[in-house]
Amino acid sequence: MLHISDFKYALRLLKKTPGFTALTILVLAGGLAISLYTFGLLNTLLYKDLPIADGGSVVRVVGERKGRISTVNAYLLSEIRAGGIRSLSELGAYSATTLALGDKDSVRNLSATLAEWNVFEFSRTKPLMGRGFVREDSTDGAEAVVVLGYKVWQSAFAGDPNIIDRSILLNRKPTRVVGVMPKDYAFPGSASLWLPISSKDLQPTGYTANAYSVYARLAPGASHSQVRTELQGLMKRVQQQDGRADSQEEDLDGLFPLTFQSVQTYPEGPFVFAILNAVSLFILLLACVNVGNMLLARTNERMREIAVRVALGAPRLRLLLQMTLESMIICVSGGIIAVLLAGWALKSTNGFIATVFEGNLPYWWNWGLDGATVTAAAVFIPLMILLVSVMPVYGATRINASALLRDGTRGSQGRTSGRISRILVTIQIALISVVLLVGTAMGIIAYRAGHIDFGIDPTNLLTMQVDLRDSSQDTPEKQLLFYQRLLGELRGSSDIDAALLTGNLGASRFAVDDMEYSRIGDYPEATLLVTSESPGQIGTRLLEGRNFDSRDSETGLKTAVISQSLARAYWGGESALGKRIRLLDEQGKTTEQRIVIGVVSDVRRGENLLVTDKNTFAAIYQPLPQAIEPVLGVLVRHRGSAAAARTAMYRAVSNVDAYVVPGPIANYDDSQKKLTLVATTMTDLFVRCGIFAILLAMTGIYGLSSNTVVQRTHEIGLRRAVGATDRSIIWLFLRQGGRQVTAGLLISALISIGILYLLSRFAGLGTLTLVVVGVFFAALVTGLVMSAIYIATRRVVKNEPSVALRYE
Amino acid sequence: MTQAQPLIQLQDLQKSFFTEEVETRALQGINLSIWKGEYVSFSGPSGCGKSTLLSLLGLLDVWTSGKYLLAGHDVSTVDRDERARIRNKEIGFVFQSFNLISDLTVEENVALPLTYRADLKKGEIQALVSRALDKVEMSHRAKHYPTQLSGGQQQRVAVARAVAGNPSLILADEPTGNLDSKNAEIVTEMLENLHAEGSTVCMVTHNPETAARAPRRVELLDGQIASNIVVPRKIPVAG
Repeated sequence: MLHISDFKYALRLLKKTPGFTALTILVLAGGLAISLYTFGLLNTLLYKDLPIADGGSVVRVVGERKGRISTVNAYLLSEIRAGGIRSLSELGAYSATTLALGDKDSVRNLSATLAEWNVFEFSRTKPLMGRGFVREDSTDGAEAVVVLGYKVWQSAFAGDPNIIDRSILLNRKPTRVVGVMPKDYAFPGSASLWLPISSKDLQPTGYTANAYSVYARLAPGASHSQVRTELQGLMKRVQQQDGRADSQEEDLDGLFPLTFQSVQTYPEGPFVFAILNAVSLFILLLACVNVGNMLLARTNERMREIAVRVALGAPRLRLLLQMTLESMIICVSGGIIAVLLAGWALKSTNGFIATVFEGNLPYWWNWGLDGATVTAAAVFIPLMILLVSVMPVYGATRINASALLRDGTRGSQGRTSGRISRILVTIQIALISVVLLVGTAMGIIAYRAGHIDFGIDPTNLLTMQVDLRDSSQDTPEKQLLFYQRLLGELRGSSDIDAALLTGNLGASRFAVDDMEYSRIGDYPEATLLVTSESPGQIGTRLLEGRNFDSRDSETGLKTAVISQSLARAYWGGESALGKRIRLLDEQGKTTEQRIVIGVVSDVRRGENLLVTDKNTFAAIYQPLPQAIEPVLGVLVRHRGSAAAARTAMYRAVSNVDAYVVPGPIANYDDSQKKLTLVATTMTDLFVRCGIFAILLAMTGIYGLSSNTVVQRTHEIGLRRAVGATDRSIIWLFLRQGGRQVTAGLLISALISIGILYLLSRFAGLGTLTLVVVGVFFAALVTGLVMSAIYIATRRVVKNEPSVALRYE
Repeated sequence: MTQAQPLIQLQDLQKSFFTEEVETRALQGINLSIWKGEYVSFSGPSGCGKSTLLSLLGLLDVWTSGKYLLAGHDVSTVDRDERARIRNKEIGFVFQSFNLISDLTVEENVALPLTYRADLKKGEIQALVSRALDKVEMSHRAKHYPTQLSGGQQQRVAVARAVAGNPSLILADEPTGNLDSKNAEIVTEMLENLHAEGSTVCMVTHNPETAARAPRRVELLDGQIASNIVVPRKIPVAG
């Protein structure tokens, strides 16, 4: 049916108008490239199989508590093993930690994974050298062994080929190297070292303080929902049988499988995936409508030619195929360019993300032109052909060949054709408005998340963690002494201006004064922190009262400093000083009462950068002597160079206790930037896509609107022939355009409100901002449509009516 | 205007088209007077300039040189708005391809020129439309769209639109060109009736029989008047 001559003819037509051809191909390539890039980016983030053998069957078993992902208690894990979850074929536990490599003269902090002995078998990966773990490595009293990552083997041991069986010091404990993993191996997460978890820790007789992340494989043919059902049943059974998890934690609300990717983006991931893909598909749809409209205009120009072909007996199907050929060539060419563009962009993202995350990125973050993206292109391209062809083909099928050949095009625009044009403009207005509004809303969310004020001046701030759990500082008294001496050392250094110790104890329920609530869930929540006295300018800013000092000793009055937001929320204009705060346990029982002695500036808490609610800044600080914690953060503001301050910090820890291994030192500003990196990257992506969308929208809506006027040139001539003045015609077209704009904006408002409502579920969106943005874009779209109509109508009415009546 | 003053007076009217520096002289010095109440047919071979002449008579186009007096007024110098007003009030057009607006119903099409008149109220427009549709026997199709009508019916609606505002001049460009003989006869009779009622009718036609039915026949050739014959039995109506 398809003749080579038709194909040649279509190519000749496209060659005849190189500008038109290039423009349509580029518009489609741009629209599709954005869709493919977004799809490829998010698919890798969320859905792609893990890059290990049979990666599609690998899941994590996670607990859920208050809507947040939680590790699984070792006791519950042992019950899972004992209960035999049929829908899981393999299972293992792991946790991440930091270990010190070397002795005190040359210590180096490395990320380590404590994993069950089967971890390498589970990932179906053999070591590059030596062996992986065997069951005996995890037995009680077994020799300490370690498997090195490729990078650390290269950097710390210069790729020593005789590294196997060498003894190295890890947290000052001699440990034998038994293997080296291949380059880029990173299961279950990026790490420099792997150590086996003791089997004793994995087989407790009751709830313990140990909780682990759990990796597992689905049994052949098993689904996520089957695993979920089995796990939920087991969890309920264990909870009924053994009561509450332990005295420190609430029971888990759920136990279920998730992919590694989903855990990272839980729970908003799939929703964000859907929204972002929807926005990018809107852009593609916009591109298709634009190109479809350009092809429709071209078909209109070719109506007489089509009529001649009909008159000469061209079969209907061949005629339609011929009409589609042009679209096919444009779409396929655009599609190929789009695939190449998307592949390049994905590859660039890979490099960009690897650079900014300094290698500490999930190992499945490896973007490029993968099978899924190419498949998506293979689905999108035929859809594009269908979308851009439908209008010209429809136009060609409605042709009245005899009338056309008799009159030429000296009839006014057909009623159906006119209606299609108006509907197209309305759809275009609706699409553009949705893309602009939702895209901007998402851009605002990303921008806000990327430019959050954390409430602390980051200038010259360094952070470090000290962990006394495995040290000789094993009592609260010793720990307090350690901290006091550490602060003394730090403050005595000429390189350090101020130092502070602080720890975050998580969210806690509390009550102010004698306020009582009927349910524990109704009590307000705040972040509970512990902090040392801070005479220098560091950390929060004192607004009222005083900071902690020597009066707040372990035997002194129980005191608290609270954040400004909390003070405002519960005491309004009244001073909070001297007021009472009761801290509650999970049952709502008062554990202690504290008197407010100071109010400090707000500091943003929590990982969710998108939502700001009453809990975001609510904080209760306790003095260090009254709430000793074995793990605390050290916050230091340095005077001179950061390097000198870092040395001073390590020296300070070593001077107090040479066997306490300090955590890695980070620049506070950098760590905050890392938190907001994804958001700033997304903002960047939105801005780039947004610019393309706006360009597409502006040119599209302008072209479409003016084309609808040009299509009515004959009608304009006729109206003028019967006495219409230029002004009355322009006014008539503007009025009609106004109705289309109103309809399009109303449709877009309905769609946008729905999408924005869903968006607001996981990110705070200011209503006023949205209204302002909405009004701005409504005005922009209205202005574009109206100016396009005005300019096109003016151009047409400038001609004499006889010219307009002869217009073909 | 007195009887001695023609409704239309053309003095050395010329029209040229310019395309890519090539000048095509469509009309070359037309001198012609048409009195109120006359029924004039313009005929001639393709490209002789008859449709161009009709466009100029209807102020649908501007002439290159010469003078055009309509009812004694020189319309060579009037602005675009005034020309629109003249077309609206004084002239009614009937085109070969009907030129009805497909989005408007029959009655809306007929009302179209009337809607551009500020002096007419809605009720008056309605009355004029009804009368015009009655005249062409298309009242029963008032709510239909043009695409729902036959060619002959569409042309009758076009005639109704041309006469709805009681113009002093009716210009018809090949009004029967797209019609079968039966419908062509109906439309020709309608124009003759309008003439009989006192309207001035100028009609361009290829058809010698249709042309022969006009009391005055002007033949054009190469943009010039080749013959201008007045049949004695037709007497111009006094103004």
